[in-house]
Amino acid sequence: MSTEGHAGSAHAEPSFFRKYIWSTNHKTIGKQFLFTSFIFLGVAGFLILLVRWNLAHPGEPVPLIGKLLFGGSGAVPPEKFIFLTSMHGTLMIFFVIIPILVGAFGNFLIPLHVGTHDMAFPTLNALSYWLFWGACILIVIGIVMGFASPQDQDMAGWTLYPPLSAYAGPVMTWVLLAMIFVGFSSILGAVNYLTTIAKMRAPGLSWFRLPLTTWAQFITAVLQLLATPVLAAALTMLTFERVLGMNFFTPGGLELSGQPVGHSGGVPLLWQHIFWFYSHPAVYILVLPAMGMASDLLSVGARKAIFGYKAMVLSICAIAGLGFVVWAHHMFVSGMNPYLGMGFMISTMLIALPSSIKVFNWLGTLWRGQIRFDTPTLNAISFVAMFVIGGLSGIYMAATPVDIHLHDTYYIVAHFHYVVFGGSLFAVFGAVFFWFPKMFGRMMNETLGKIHWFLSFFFFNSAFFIMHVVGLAGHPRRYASIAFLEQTLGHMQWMNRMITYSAICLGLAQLVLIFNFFWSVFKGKKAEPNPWQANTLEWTVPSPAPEHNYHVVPTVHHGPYEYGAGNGKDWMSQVESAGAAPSSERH
Amino acid sequence: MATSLKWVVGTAFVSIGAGAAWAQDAPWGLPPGCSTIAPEVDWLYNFIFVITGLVFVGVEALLLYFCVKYRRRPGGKPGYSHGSKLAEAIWTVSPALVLLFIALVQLPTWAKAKIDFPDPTTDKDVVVVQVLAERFKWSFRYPGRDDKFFGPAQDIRKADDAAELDDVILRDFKLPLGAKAVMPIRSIDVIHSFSIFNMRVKQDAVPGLRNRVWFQPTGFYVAPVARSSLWVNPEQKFEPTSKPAWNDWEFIDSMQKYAEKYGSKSVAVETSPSIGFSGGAFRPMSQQAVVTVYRNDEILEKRPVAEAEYVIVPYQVACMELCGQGHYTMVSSLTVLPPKVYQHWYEARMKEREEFALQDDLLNVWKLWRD
Ligand code: HEM
Ligand SMILES: [Cu+2]
Ligand SMILES: [Cu+2]
Repeated sequence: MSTEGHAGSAHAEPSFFRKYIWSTNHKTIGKQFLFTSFIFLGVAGFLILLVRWNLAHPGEPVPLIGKLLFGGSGAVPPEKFIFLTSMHGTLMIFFVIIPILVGAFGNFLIPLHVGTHDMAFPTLNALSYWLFWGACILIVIGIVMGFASPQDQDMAGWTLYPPLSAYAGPVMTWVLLAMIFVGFSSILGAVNYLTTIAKMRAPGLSWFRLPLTTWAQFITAVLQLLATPVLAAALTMLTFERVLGMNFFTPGGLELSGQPVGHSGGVPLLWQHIFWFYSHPAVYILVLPAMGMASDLLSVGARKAIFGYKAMVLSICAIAGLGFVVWAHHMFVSGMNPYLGMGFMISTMLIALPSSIKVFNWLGTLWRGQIRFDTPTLNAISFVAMFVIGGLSGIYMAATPVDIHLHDTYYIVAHFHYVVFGGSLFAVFGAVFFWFPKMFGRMMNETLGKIHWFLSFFFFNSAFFIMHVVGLAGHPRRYASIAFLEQTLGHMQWMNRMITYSAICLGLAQLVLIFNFFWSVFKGKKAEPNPWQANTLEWTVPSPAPEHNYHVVPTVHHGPYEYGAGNGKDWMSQVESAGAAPSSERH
Repeated sequence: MATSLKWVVGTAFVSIGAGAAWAQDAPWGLPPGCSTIAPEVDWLYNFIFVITGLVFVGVEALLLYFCVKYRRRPGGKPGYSHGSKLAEAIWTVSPALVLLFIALVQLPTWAKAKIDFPDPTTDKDVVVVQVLAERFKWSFRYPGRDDKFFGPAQDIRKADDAAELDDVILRDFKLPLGAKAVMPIRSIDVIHSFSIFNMRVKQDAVPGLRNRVWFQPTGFYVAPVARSSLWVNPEQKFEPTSKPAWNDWEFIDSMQKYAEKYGSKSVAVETSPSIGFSGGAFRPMSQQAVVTVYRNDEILEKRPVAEAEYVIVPYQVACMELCGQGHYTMVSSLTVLPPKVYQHWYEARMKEREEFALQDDLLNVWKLWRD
């Protein structure tokens, strides 16, 4: 694959439409993913605040907007509750975190990091974004229908367990179709990433000179390529069961509200096995790219090489590999053979190992550094601090007897919000801040950045830490309220309220980010090519990165983490050929 | 360095101690465990709590310490290192050993909970109660006088009006103190999950799957009955309290203890429909309600609710797998009773079945039971 073909400025300036809308440029597509998923972040966050309101004040009208949304007294009607939670989960996973981590940052950074002008298949890349758009349209139809239709909008959570999902109302079909589109978008993206990283690395850029961000994207793409087709198959089966009357997941002899169900011969657990075979790897899709980015941010912020670069790469690979053999830890009490549960318990314990290795290496990276507390670094450190909590709570749930008690309580909700929000989303906050100059040619405002970081960190913890406590007491997840469990949980209601108020503040804190983002796009300080004194290739080109990235294909002389090597300054770009440059492959 | 390390380690230990004490204290930790499996589960929980607590405090403290110690200083130079094979080896092997240990130590408990079921044919203590889940209700079936369940679906339908259909079917269930419950679980529509917090029991009810669960309650709580019959509709807002209700209740784990403490007291042996829980206490649903009272080893039926000083607390049973819009209302209860009271109650239910046909809603559901 030629890396020179498109270099130079021989091209005419593309039209506005070609440049910003129907573009095949990886940077534009990355930004498109970023904007789209930020919109959904707002929507999904808003939906869950409605849910939280009802948990804190069951049956009371939602202040200000209740009447507008639900009519009547303005309270969240019980029949809307499942729709709201399910939509929140589905949106956050498939329309926010995956598209931001993989779609936005994967697209934007991979060609820059490997030193090439674009993705291997730019048109396929655009197709991947426009398939995602198809998914967005379908899911928006679902959301509007969910609010508009008078009743019966049963959904089945983001996990879509049949038979419930097989019977649920029409919104379900739109969600399924949307997810199939997202799946195809992911698969196309993954093919592109793998090819680009494997085939288009600049001269001298050996595998072990890749930044961890790109390593993480590579392994994530492997996960997506292997796992997403399984999800697509499951979704197609479920759609066929709903629409064409086929039978995969629903056994015979059932009745719903006194009416016989016209299905037979299916097995509900089949869905859970297929779904989690995809979705456990998917939870790592939700975090691996964030781990990669946080590693880079920490290294730059601490002015130190990544501690144990190869161990970091290997643990990413180990997480991905083990990620395929732990899926049934979501099914310990499903009625699956209990001996099987033992096996999955042990593999689940094992997967905590590579995660812990990474944590120790992050600590090692900070050790003896010169830590610069700018917004990206603060967010990256928060990523580590929060990920630790999420990883440790995973061990409780991996312990099968304890999981009997914890399964489907708020403890689970706390666990995955610590890894996905506390972990991935904080890494995203840091990454947006860090690569903003390369995306838009301006710096984001540092003071606003710190305010946003502090508010998010504080309210995130006050919202989600308490969930461990209520979960431990047994508070079920996906309950509209605990009014019927007053005897067991009544004394926890004040905590529910605290969680809700914190969540509202957490939501409001994001306004600071939004303001900072848009203000900085237009008014931010103009950025130099390398404002953070970082080593990787993208910082050798002007900010924002030019249309075709590199005028001359860069030649790489060493690994990405030569900080503090003692060459007069505390960093050394990957393209610098300083004579006695230490190699990052030396340990 | 050495002193600061001492501080970090010291703080870690103090925090763990405080944390453990805090977690043991009822408002924060696990709800009281009242079955034979519960102490094992709770021990495992506490064991993991200590280990993860140490790791948590250690890692977070180190992170904080590094942030302070290695903050940027003017003219400061970062260290240069790409890592250390020894360090890698240490922090790979030691967590691996700890994790492996946690993995092995829990196996017996899991086996006890989900594999080693007591055998109803040989074990005299076993009571078999079938559980059937439908949207959004639980029902429970006892075998009746013949100690046999009506088997296949057609039998129960045919026996609609037959006198020998003596299976007792109810919306909540009771067990005698000391019994081991073996409970086959079925669902007629979607997946539900049968869960009793205090028993550390959870098992999904999956259509088409023959799931079952077993547990042995170790006792029951006795609670005072408040005089005021304040009752709010549970659909509306309820009255949150700041401390767990069971703090004021007494746990009874043997009939001897019961006789000492409550033998001469008037103890209501059932809640629903006469006594409800609200605002942190059990209260009469109305002053006209009547209850069965146990006093001086006598069972007195249809006593005015005002007579009951105490009540035997039911354990709440909840559905834990999303099953639709009424999911959060799918709550029932288990009452553990003194054996004599249980026998009396069971007799009365069987007589009821001989006199009255099963209600349609129950019959319609139970005809779908599959063995
Ligand atoms: C450190 C190792 C981890 C372990 C041992 C672990 C273990 C588990 C276990 C056993 C469950 C099932 C609990 C139950 O439903 O009863 C679970 C749920 C979950 N985990 Fe983890 N986990 C780990 C890390 C992660 C990471 C890194 C992520 C995501 C980035 C993640 C995301 C989730 C999610 C989303 C669920 C809930 C799925 C659902 O039921 O909706 N976990 N985890
Ligand atoms: Cu998992
Ligand atoms: Cu249910």
